Amino acid sequence: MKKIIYLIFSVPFLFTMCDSLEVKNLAQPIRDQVLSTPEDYQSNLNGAAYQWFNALFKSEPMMTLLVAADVGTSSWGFHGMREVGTVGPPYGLGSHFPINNSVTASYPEFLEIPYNRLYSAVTSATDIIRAVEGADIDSELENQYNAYAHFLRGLAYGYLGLIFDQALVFDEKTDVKSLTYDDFVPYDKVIEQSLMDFDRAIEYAEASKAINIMGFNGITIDKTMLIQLANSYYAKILVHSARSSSETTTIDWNKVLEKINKGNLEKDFTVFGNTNKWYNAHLRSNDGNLMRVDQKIVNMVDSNSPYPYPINGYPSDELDLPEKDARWGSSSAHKYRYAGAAPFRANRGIYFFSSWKFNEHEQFRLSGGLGPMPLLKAREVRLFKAEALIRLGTDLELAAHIINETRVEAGMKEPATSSDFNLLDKLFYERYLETNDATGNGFFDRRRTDDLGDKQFLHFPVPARNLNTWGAELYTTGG
Amino acid sequence: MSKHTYLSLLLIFSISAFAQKRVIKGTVVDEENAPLPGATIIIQDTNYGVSTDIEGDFYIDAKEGDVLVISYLGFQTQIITIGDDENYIIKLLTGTELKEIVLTGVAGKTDLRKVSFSVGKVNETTLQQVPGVDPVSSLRGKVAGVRVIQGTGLPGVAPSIRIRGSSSLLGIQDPLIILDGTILDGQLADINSDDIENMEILKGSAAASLYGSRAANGVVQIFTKRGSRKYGSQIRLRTEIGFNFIPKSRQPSITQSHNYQLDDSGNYVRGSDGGYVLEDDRIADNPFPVYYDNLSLFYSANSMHNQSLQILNRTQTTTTNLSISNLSQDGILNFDHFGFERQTVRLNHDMKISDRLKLSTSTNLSSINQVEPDLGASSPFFTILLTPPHADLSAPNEEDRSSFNWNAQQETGWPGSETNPLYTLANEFTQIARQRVIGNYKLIFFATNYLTVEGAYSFDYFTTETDFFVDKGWLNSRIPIYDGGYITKERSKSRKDNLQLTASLDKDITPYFNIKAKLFYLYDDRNEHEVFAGGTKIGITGLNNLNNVTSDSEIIGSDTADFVEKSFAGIIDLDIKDRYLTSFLIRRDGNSLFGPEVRKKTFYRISGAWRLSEEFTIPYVEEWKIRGSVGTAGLLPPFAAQFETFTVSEGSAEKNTIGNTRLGPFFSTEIEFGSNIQLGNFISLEYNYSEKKTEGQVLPVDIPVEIDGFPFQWRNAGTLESFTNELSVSFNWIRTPDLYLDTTFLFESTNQYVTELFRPVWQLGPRNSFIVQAGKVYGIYIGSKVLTSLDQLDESQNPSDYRINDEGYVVDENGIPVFLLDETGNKAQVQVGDINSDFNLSFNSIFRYRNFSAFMLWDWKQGGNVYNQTKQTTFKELLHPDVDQVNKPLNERKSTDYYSALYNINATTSHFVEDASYLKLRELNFSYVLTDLRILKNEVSIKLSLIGRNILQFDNYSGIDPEVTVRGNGDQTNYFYDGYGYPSFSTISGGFELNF
Repeated sequence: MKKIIYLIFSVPFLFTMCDSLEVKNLAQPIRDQVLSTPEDYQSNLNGAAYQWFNALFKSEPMMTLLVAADVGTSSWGFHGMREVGTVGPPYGLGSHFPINNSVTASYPEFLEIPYNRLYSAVTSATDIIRAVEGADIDSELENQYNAYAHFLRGLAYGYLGLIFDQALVFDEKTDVKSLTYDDFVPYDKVIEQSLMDFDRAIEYAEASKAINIMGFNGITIDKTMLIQLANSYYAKILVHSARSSSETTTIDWNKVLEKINKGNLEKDFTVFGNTNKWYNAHLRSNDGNLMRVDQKIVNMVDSNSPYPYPINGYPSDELDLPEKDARWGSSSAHKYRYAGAAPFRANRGIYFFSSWKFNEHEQFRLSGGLGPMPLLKAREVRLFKAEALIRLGTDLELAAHIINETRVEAGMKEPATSSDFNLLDKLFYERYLETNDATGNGFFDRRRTDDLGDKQFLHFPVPARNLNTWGAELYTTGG
Repeated sequence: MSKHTYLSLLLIFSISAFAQKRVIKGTVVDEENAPLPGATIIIQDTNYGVSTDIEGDFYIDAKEGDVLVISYLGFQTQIITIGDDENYIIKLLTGTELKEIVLTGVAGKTDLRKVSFSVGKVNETTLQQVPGVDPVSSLRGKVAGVRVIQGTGLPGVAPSIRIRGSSSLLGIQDPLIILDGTILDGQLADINSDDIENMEILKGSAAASLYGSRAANGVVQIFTKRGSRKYGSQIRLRTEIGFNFIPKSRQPSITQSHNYQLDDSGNYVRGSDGGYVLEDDRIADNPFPVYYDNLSLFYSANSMHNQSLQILNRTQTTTTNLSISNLSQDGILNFDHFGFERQTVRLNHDMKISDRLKLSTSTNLSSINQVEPDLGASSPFFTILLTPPHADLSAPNEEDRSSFNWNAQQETGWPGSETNPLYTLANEFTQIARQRVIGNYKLIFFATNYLTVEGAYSFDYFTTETDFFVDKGWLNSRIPIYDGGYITKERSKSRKDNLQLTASLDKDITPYFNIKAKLFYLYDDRNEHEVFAGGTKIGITGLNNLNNVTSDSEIIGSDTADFVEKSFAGIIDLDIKDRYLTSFLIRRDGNSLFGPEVRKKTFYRISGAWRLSEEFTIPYVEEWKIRGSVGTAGLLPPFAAQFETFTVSEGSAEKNTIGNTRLGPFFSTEIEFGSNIQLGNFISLEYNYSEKKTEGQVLPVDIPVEIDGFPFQWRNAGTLESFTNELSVSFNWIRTPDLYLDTTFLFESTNQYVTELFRPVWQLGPRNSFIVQAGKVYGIYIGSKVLTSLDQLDESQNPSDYRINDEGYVVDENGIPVFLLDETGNKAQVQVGDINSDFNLSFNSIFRYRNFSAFMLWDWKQGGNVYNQTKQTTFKELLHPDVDQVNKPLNERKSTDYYSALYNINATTSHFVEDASYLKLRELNFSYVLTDLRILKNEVSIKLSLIGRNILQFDNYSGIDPEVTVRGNGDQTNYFYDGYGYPSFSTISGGFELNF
């Protein structure tokens, strides 16, 4: 009996003793798993594509940069909007303050989100480029993966160079473990790497027979489109990288023109929201309770609308504006819609006020994030082309024609002509109204034309938490 | 007389004496005549003794004049002298507190007086005074050093426990909870506290090393009732009916005045853009054109009831407890669909299979249903305070005439655009249903008189269904995602199995030397699975079914986690002469949550005690023990922390965290010194001093994201230390059959510091308001500081341009408050508060006169801060009563710019750091017992009670309750933060209890 009882006690003991302590994480894959087969490379690249999107097109930094550029306005604190929009005296036109780049900052997300996620995209793309090099796959697949990976890395480095003052640049051949903070390079070197990646992407794409990229929600990017996008982004990032009007003039505009012509982007690069993870800042920027169109834009459309917003209230009926530009009005069909008194508190600065809201993506907002989200409009690239033509002075007729594609359609009384002395102004007028819905566009345009507010930052600093990981001294920009 | 004669007489007497020995039968019972199995009967001055059987009976060879010493743990030892009788009934009286027994953390059943470390014990008498709705509530104010914090009033959420100082910078301060041998995870609100017989509490590593890598926060072991004390059956029916409410004096309010221009009719003046026009002085002293008391539509008093039935039984070979209960708590919102309901069934059954084999089973089934409102920012608790009183929240919607005009505020054109909170409460809520089975099945084999082998299998399974449903017809375009309806359904399953094998030895080597030893093996396997599905658009109105989701709006996801632990432990407790007590323990844990290179970890404990009262005779000192203990225990890292992980969603992989193959557990070492003193039967006193050092804090550490794309790694990267003094003093003023008065004071004071941090300064908690920094106190707020002295001005600021206002703030010539600046000219980020209290003091008293009894429990927290973000947010909209200047002297009136500056763009600011001291009457009970009643020939007693919970509160806090945390956002025992949560409420109820 005793033996039987002892046996009863010992069986489960022996049984469980043999059980292993090695437990797998079945919820989240490890590196070996995500890179185990060439088929998984696609999933990694799709993840990198999302991280690029995720880095840029949500509230941070999209809303932040709209306010920083005086294209959008909001005195709400979140997304750092009030921080980047507040100015000292004189009323509405004084100097901006430095970005609070400390580990205790209240709104560090507008710096950290783009920085960390863009590097997530850079490193994932680099992982795949390295993996492809060592993988036993045919050259067609090699070309396809390389084209996709270089395109993504070009996008990620490109925006790092556009948004931040400096970054760490490396490629698949770099021994990354040996890098230090001293290896960080200024933005122009980051842009260089981005442009190189776009060129490599084009080379690989051209060498491949067919490409089908599914990483951007709702669309498939084929070989032709990838080549179009790589060329177009090459041009866009090159132009937008300028930090001043003098840098703008030194841009290789022939190269810009060459790339645009080669790309010949006819369709917008548009991804689609699914309300889950694919959605963007339109959900908030088109909500008149959270953001308005900056009075500087209103004033650009109608010089009778004063800028900054009058401290003692508006002198006249703002609904005069539609007479100046048919894109403005009070119906749901208008791109810019009259929304009445701004929902902001007066004592945060009446200069934040505006009666107009962004309305181009109102349906997207009302659907909770379902629908198209243009990331690079063909219109924007055509306006770059017009700008190149103007700056090179090669074909002002064509430039004016491009400008008028929206200018006339919008009901403006004075179409642009090749003889206009202010052709560039008319071009930028269109840029500010037609292309402000992709991250940073208004900011990049104001920056390269010396049109940002006084002492407004030209770029973000590397976030304080990231500087800490390198043991680097904290610094900031602006102010 | 010759030598031979002496020898002969001795032989004759010896033979005679031997001949006089006979078998004496006895029965040992308690005060209620219930048998006491296992009581020890020893013939004084011999080594000879026996134990009582399951019926309390014993047989012993003794002769007339022999003295029998009868003892039983938890009872006063009795001595009888054998006379002519052959049958004896010996009634043992219940011991005082110090004579209770302990099972937790020791080698075997041990007299509390002989434990060499601190153990808290809560017995049934105390527990039954004001039964908590869950076991945690029942612990409040019962044991020194145990803080029970009710950070939210949300029905169905048990309070949080912190024992002594914090152990985890990640905010995991919960002790290990063991219910009848089953290690629990998950909500303790699922357990009916009426089932509890007693609880034992090990306060930290110095006591809890036996529980290894999960016990750094201490251990709470809960024992439920197992059967009636007497043979036969006992039935207990208890019902409690009452209501939940927030006293009007504690409810929030909205300002009576604003700073906008009014016309002659008292209506708002509107600008050309339709906006309100500010008064030039911007002083909020104009009345609202119309004032709706919207808060009265928000809160209401709602019912609660709790019923339980217990059927307890004892036979010669079995004991049984079958109990069922039903609890309903509706909370304090003015909507019927919110609340918490719980049903439980418990069956405890012990069976003596043979003289050497016993089976003990415990099974608990519970089912809960809970309907929760949205909480936090933008929730109804937020929007109700940000709605100007001129908005009529009770008006119907113009769109479909449904109740509560969703955009009542926006239609008034008020800056800001909060949704009608009543509309949200009526149309958006989460339903949670949980089914849970907890079981423990134990086979005990008494191999010899001193060796016992025990095998136990226990489990805790629960499934949770969380449903969120918004029907089509949602009007609130501020949250357009619900526009086409919204469904999510989350199904999670948690399964925990463990197997324990124990061999215990309890042997008196000599009358003066007892050894207790235990060898212990634990196998623990836990897995959790979760699936999630939903959609952002539905087809058919009113159908809460996944089939109703349109194909373009589906959302899916799943998660899974698994862990295995295998542990061995050995423990030896030595008792020499009842006065020198030592204990040695070692435990080796293997755990799958540790990195592969450090899969195993060893824990130990060494403790010793000296019972001075056994060594020396000291007048009036019944018991005096001094003791010291040092022990180690740990806490587990989060499941995925050791792994290099990618997050996969919608089929694509994104980098998450780089793994750490050397990630070990939190490792806590505690040194404890203490003393127990019993003065007569009048005062019992316990003092403990504890130093706890928890190294290897498992923390996310930022790493260069540029290198590999992973932004952080989990590392053992810090040390948290705490120092605690605790004192409990019980006065047993009167103890007669008719009159009883007992009072207990519990005092505790803790200091806690982050002594090492191998990562940069870390901001965390609600709105990142807390900072973790090496060399600093744990639990400090960081934020902007409003200056209170001209000396604090920056060098560039001329003091003559500033003054101190009536609130003690430095203000500029416009009356705007001035903030402390850093060297760059930005507002400096400095410590603005500290959550740590100076001390906590609880006081409880039981009074009984014949059939009437009264109990009260007071809780006093002195010092420490709470952050009032709820108030700060209402400063944004200038709707806080502080903004109202009407009743202020003219020279103290301030413009709204003053309050907007204090609002400080919602950043953590010293103005909103408040004193968190309070004195609360936690529990109050008046009872009367009707006895000598009979129903169907059964003796019946009826107890009638009037019960109050949290009915009186004294504090300096401007919000509802300074004991407040943000649910699900960090450390629930340290991060005191008022962030528009569900407020704690009061309950008054009447109780009826029938016993027969």
